[in-house]
Amino acid sequence: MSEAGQAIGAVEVNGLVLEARGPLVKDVSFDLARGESLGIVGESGSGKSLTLRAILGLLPAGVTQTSGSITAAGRVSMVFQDPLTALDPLTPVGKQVAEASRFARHTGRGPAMAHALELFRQVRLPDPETKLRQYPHQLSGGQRQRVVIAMALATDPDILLCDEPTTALDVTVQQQILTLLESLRRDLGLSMIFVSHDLAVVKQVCSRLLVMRSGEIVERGDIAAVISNPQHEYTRTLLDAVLPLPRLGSAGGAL
Amino acid sequence: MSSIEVRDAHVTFGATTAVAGVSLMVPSGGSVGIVGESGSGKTTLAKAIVGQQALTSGAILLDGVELASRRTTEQRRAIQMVYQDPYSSLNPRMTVRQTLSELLLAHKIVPRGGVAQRSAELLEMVRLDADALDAFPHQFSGGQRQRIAIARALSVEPLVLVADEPTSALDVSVQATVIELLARLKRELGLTLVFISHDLAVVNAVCDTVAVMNRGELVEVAPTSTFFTSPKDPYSCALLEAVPRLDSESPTP
Amino acid sequence: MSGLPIATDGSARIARQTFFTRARRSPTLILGIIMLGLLVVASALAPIIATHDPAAQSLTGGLLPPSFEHLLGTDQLGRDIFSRMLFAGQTDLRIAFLAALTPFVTGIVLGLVSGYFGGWLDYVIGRIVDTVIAFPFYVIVISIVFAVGAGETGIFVAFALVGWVGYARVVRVTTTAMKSSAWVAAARGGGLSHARVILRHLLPNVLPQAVVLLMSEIIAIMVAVVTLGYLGLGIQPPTPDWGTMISDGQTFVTTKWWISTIPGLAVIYTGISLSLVGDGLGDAWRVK
Repeated sequence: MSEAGQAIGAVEVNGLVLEARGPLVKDVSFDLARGESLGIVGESGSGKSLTLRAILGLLPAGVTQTSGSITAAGRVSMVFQDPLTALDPLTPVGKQVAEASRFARHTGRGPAMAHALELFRQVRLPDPETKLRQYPHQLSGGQRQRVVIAMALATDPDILLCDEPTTALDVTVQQQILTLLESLRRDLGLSMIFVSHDLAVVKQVCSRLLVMRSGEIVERGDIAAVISNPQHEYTRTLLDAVLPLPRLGSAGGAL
Repeated sequence: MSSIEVRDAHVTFGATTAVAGVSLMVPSGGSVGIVGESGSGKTTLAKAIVGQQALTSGAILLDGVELASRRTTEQRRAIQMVYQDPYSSLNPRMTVRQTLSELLLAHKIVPRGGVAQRSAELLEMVRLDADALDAFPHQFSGGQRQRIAIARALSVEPLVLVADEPTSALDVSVQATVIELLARLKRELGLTLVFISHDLAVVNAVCDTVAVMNRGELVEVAPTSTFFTSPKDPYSCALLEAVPRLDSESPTP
Repeated sequence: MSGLPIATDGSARIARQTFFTRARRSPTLILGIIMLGLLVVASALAPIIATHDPAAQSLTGGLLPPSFEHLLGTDQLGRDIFSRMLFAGQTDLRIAFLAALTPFVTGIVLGLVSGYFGGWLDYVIGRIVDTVIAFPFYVIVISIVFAVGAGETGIFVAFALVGWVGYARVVRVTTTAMKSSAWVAAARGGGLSHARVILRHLLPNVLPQAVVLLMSEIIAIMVAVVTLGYLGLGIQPPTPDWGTMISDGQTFVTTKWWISTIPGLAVIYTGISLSLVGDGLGDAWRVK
């Protein structure tokens, strides 16, 4: 779905209001340029995940968009937080990814499975041929998340939404997944919106930042600028809450 | 204040080894942060220290005295645990007052007449108002529940506090208050602290010693002051290097 | 005054939430209690409200339709149905509630113990439960009543031996689930004994479900008493009982339909009120 004048991969959100029994997201507006990676940070209840879901068009039951508009030029795909619940435990992972591919490309089973294999290679799953037939519980957490990413890529998306994709992962695995996401974004020219409660994680993969609290955007800007010079007091609270970790090789100095 | 020692602890479940020969000494009043990723065995070790998990071999010693698999009431009192999930660590049908007074009375820590006051004091230690006493757990936020759980652990006057990822389920801004609370209580009450975490920054804030576990083994033990700047073990280096930092380079748009 | 703390520092007012405040919010419970209350009061006051002696027969005044003198008519022996209904209510309610108690207690105890301790105890109890469940309910009950003898004692014995199974299963499952939760571990870790943990911590969490089940068990017992009465194995004459009243009237069901129907309606009314109470208690006891 691309509007005249809007480049493929761009997202425009205008005055978005989401409500359930009360307002959850209040008048949120932002743009995503093609090929850009935007981070949204906030704590629980900030509305960051709901905003992503609104872009995808997959709001949970009871939540409705009562105002505002969202235009996303191109295909939108999402990487979810918990690979355990994002994957069907009773279906082999190769088949799950192939299903997504078939749906998007309208191909038969054979080409779809070949595409799944290609995607498994792209997300750097070790021993991809064997993995195609395995079930989620046979994979490690990091491998499962790679499968979820492969599934998201199966629809040839232009825009990739990531909802806390590394929160449930160990720190070394997180590092690998973040590196993978960043390289995929570059290689495939994707636009990315990355939601997290962890500012440091967002800093690894995003160049621009939105800070959300209680359904509103309280600060936005270039990520390095916001971190070094926060304007809003909530941003400062979030930054202060990040505990210092001495640099490797330094003389015990804190951040 | 008490020292706690783990001597060559092994915990195996059938063919799986969760803890493989861990030996660790925490001096009286010290605080050790046990870090590791999933499958490292750190939670199993914590449970073994608290007495919830039996050791397949090895021993846990409190002040040099070996703890049998069936501990005495005093021994159980001496080592208390703060659990990870604030949403399931409090009895949903008991008010805060009931939870605290039950422990206070069962161990005769104060006479019956002094229970109300002691309960209020315990809540004050964790910075909660006394009117929280008559509320049920579901009326509180995660951070508040965690503070109640800490008050409960403190009610039996333990010597050692084992905290199993006490802030992992909490929002970032709330984490800091709980951590600061634990650090302050450790100082004021002279507790020996065993802090389990996957989050290295948290351990840096609270503990004086770091113990790194990987696949059931203890790979490095070092003082916090030197560990973070010059770790010795390659796994420790990998862990530290993997932590995302605020001052790292972000990608170009 | 809301029930939720406002500030992040626990410095807000926190409402007292007792059982009664929550009970008041459940219209189901209130309706059920009212209905059940009316029934219990009416039965208790039977000696006062009844217009006639329930055993008094009148050979000429039989099968009379409802009138001012006989509010619900008379049965084939000339006995006033209204008075018999009230006294039968007394009998049936008393027996149903009492017969429900023993299995309630034994079922909860066995469920707690097998869920908490597990091991061979759980295994043995589990196999007994499986065996009892394998038999159709009425087959066992009728056999036991047949063996022990018709009447109240037989009913009590039958349900005491068979009725505990439902509670044991429900309680065991809940106990097993709770046993692995952190707050139970914390209670044991705090130095509390097994007995204390079971009685003071697990039981209150298990009781709500058991009581809700109790409500439907009482209905089941009542229906069984009535059925046994219908089969002639229940309460023996001359004690009035809804079951015998229904069976007595079955020959006249086409002509004098009220003789069987009215006691039947009473059973249904009791069932509905107990069901509402059960649902309402479930609502009131639900912890968020």
